[in-house]
Amino acid sequence: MTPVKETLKGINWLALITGIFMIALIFAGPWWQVTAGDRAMEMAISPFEFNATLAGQSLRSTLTELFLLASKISFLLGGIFLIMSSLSPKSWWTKYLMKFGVMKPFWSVIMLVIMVVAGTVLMNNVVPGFLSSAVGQATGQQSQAQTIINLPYFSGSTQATLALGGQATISTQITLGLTWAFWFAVVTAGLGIATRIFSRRYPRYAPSK
Amino acid sequence: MEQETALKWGFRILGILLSIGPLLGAMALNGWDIQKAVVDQEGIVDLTSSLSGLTGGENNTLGSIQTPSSINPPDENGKVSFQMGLPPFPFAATITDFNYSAQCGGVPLNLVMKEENVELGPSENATITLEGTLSSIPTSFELTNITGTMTLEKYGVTIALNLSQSGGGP
Repeated sequence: MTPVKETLKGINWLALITGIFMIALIFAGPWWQVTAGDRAMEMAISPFEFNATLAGQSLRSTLTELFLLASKISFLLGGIFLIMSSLSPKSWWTKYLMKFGVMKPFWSVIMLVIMVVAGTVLMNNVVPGFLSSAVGQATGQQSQAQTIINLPYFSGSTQATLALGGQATISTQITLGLTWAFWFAVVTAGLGIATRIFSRRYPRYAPSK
Repeated sequence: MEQETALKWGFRILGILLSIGPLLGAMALNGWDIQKAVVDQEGIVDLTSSLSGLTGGENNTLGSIQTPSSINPPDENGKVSFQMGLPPFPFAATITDFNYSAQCGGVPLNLVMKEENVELGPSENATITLEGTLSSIPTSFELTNITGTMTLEKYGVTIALNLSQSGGGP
């Protein structure tokens, strides 16, 4: 076998692809987005970005921005470490470098799913009561204000309505959906799990006694 | 073995830094004020000012639209047309629909807005033209049993205001 072939055979290709995908994921854009009306409310989220605008005004948070930066750094390092460990699967440091990042995409996908489900449950069950009460108090028609929101889970659109007794009805279309970047993250998460399982096949570094 | 321990600890410290670092950094950048760190206060001020008209307040006149209590006699075809002034609104919006039903001396009258859309600037008076046709000559031009809806649109949010009988005239 030629040295080139031997080198190529030694590469952990699964870890290499996962590492490249992890780095690419940082630049893939939002994973889930929601819009209400025409710029009344827009939100786009991923572990690397959070864009929220309300009535055309952008909402910013230093804390969120720094957490997102940390998440980007974490994925970037995880990807680099995976690539390094894929190129040298027999080194003593390989398993540590691989362990640092390989499950990050999986946990990020799980976190986003939990967040979206929890957010939808909150919007459908808690927010209507809160909004009705707040608007009722502001207008002095506490018993007549009624809010109806039935958001779909993950993707779809719905009409949200706030009825203020017989006086007024406020309604808007809410559209939400998962983007291709989310499915790219799911693929990366699957590759990460596969990398973790199949990398056990590679011969390990054995320290000399 | 020492190298492995060092690497293990290195990753642990890196993990802790990436978790706690943003929290400490955000607090330090905002004078250790958790509220400022969580939400940018300037953004909240801008948002409050842009929504002030929608949330009700001293200048909110949405609830004080005066519908006419009588109309001028119709033309020979029974057509009724008049202009109706609207009070200043607290925010810019578009009136997309205005329909109005009443009994005019015992004859049913349906009036609709002639204009397709009327743009309202903040705190500006607006005028709309209402048109309708009477099927027969009424005994009087007093309007009774007035019901109607004015539909406004702002940022894709539709606000339908139900109008009921009140004083005022065309």
